[in-house]
Amino acid sequence: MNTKTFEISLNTDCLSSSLATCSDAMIEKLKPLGLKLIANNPKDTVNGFISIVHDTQHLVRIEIYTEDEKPNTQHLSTLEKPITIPSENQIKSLLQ
Amino acid sequence: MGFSGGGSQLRAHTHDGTVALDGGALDFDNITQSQSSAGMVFYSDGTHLQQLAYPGTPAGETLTATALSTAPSWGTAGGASITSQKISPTNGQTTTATTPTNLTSANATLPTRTGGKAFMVYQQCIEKSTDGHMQQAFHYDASIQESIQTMIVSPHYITGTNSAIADLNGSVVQLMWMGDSGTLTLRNSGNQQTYCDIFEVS
Repeated sequence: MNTKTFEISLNTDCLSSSLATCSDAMIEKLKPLGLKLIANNPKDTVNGFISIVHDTQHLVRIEIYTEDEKPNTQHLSTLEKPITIPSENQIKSLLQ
Repeated sequence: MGFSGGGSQLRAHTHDGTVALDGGALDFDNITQSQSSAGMVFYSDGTHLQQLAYPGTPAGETLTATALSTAPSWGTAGGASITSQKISPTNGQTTTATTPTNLTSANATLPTRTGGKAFMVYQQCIEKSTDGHMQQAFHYDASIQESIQTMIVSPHYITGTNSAIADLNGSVVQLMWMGDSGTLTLRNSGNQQTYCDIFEVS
């Protein structure tokens, strides 16, 4: 599958919450872009995903699918290109 | 046993110490001399004794019998060359990927040694926010290799193990992971370890 990748460094910490909660919070912040970045069940449809290294300086990598792909032997989820691929500035402004 | 008498021609002899008047056994221990240099090895060509010079700059050579040869020679020492590497990904990274994606700080470059192999063992300790499976894979030689799934019941963590054998061809080995839903959190501290040991043998 082809993706568009955004890599963003954020000066934040998440010591008071679990790392998964920190990830959930960032996904929530990006909802205005109409992106579904987490699967709620194995057969869910997603537009991409978010990977985070939770150091004091968080390293956030967001990958957005740029083409549709049905479930196959590699994954059960449906991959769906979003209606609009956001810009890096749009993502940064929502996360910061 | 020495010869007796004088003035006569030297009779044919073989230095067989069990035969009378045969010159006696040669003493090879600090008495018998030859036109040799230090470390020379003696062998027979079937008719005469020959000498094999000791390596001028010894570098671990071994005396060897190469195929189809009729005499010994010095050759490169046998035995395996073994090196190792360890990949230790960043503790506490997360992903929501449902397709394979790279772990951070999780790659190594294999050496280039003709005919050599890398034996890799990849242990991955994962916590997952939903029930389901996590997947771990190797990426090398430009494609995903040896991918396995392990089931996890949230909120517990589990360690999965994967292994692979790769050629020592200079390829970069990258560790990959994914889940089927929710968020994966990688553990790599204390007794919750994620690592990949690579043994390179040639």
